[in-house]
Amino acid sequence: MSYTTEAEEAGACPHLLSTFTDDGVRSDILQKYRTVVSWATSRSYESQRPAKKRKLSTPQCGSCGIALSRPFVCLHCSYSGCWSLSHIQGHLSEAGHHFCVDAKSGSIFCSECDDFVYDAIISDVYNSTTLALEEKYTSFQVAKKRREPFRPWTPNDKDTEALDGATSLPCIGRRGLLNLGQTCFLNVVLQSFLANPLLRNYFLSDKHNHRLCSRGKDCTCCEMDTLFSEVYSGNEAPFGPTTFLSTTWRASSELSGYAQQDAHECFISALNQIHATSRGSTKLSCICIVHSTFDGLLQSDVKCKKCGNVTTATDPMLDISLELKGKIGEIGRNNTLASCLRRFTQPEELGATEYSCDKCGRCPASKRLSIRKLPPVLSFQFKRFEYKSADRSSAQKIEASVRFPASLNMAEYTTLVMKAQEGEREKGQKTEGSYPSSDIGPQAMYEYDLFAVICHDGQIDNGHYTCFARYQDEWYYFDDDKVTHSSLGACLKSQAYMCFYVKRRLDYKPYVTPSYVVAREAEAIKEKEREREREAALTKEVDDALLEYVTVRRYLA
Amino acid sequence: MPSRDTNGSVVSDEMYAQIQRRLLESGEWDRIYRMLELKLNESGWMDELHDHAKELARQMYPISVRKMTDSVSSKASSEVPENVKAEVTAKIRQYLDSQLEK
Repeated sequence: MSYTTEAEEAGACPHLLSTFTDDGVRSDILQKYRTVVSWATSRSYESQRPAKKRKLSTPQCGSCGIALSRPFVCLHCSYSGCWSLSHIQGHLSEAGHHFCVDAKSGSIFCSECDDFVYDAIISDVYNSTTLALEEKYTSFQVAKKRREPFRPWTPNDKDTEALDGATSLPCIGRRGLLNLGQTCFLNVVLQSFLANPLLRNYFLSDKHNHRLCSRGKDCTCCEMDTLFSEVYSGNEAPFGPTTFLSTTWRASSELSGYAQQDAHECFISALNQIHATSRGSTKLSCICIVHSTFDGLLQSDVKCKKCGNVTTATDPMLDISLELKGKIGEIGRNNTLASCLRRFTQPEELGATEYSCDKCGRCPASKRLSIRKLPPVLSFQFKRFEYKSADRSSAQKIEASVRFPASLNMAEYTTLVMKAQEGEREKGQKTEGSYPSSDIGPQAMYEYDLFAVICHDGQIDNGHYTCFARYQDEWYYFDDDKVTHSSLGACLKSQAYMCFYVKRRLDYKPYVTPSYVVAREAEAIKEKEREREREAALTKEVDDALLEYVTVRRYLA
Repeated sequence: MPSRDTNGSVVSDEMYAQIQRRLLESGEWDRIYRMLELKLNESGWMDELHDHAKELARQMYPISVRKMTDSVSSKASSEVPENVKAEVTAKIRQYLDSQLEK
């Protein structure tokens, strides 16, 4: 009963709550809901696969008979109908039924509230149903393995005990960063790290505790840990990242001094330092937090124009730098992130002097870049600064605006999709606007959401860096120590220098105990064994001494 | 009641309903819809509407689905970029032509 009152106060639908008090009715409604959502989700996956003679199931409106492109389904009976022509609302009032669901989004409409309503249980069912289907429709290129199914975390007894004794704190951390003398270039990079969900989770999970780190001095990971602790401390006053700055100076002398620096250089330098000071980081196939978060793979395919032989090479990448100028130096007027990415992945002609084929010798070729592996966090830099001379003394800034989206689908720039589209083109099939029939997996696996934007205003040598960052659904504007609530619109209108996107779906393997934990436990067992041996040896010594004493005494007696 | 389309030829309700059904059953509706979604997102239309709806909702008390849909729908239909409209219309026309041949 108390749950109901709390939920009511939070704005939940009282009609849904009271309906759910009856277990039988509740389970019927949830079952119907699950069926509808399953049907809609499967249908949308099936429709993306063009198959000539197949007929997709298409319900008709119970009132006007038209085939429904966006069915609203009654949760009490078998009626489904149009929303825009108000047929479903008509049915609900005529039949005295309360709830219907928009099959596509899973949103529930309550006729009594005359509003769409939110319920935590419904939301859970929607998420678990759609995810299970998404997993089913994801096939992999490697070894016919199915995608690892999501398993929600359930605390074991030890976890429950630990949680019962813990204090919960609100997980909100936003603080301005003091400008320590032209250091806005560092502040914006740090704010983009703070808003980065994967970096945040790593450091808030205590994966690198600066109080326990053995490195002592000049550990950038410790500086990151300190930064996260400060920002999530509850203190809202601006924070001065002085030790982060001095550590950065000592690690990269080119970034030192009180002059304005390039935020992108600072970003790359910081990533390298965090990698270098991470426990267990390696030169190849590193799984440190930097590589786990930002590491992607770029593929370059060079095709010989004579014999068609293709040479493939892959290179790791931490971010993507995009040109704003075309081949002949022209700056477009309607630049978008998509147009930059298309330019980045379009075929480039290589002259006979630049390429030598194994079979044909020197001849013209075409080179094409594509993304082989998408990283969890995708960072883009727009190359706005052109340095005319090596000493950076003369430079120009390209002011052209670039429109970038809040959500980005990277499918068409990936190697997998590009190859599939090339294959279809060769077979003479249409590809414009549709997806290749070969399985490229659910679109959700290619989708990213914008979470931070670094902006630069002014000229190269006396400009200013600021940034926008998203926390859940709200956008904030960070101008050194000043933090203000902003909006998506304001962010998208700004002149972006760098954009950060986070992948909507993370890929994960089956859980295995990390090797360092296994090693630690093995070490603990060995230590216990050594302790036992020491005690046994000590006991033996005592026994021997005692025996000697008794023998001597007997001898003397 | 029969109506006239842009070419002046008569399109009955029955014909419209049949074409609608065929579009949906073949999956062509979903493919065209997906193409429209991608183009509208790239043009910035989606983000524009999302921002408008969010800021409108922030100022609205009590919040009403009807008021929100009315405001967002009118802005949505008037702001579709011409080139997107043209490309998608062409795709639909292409489908209709293929159906009329049958």
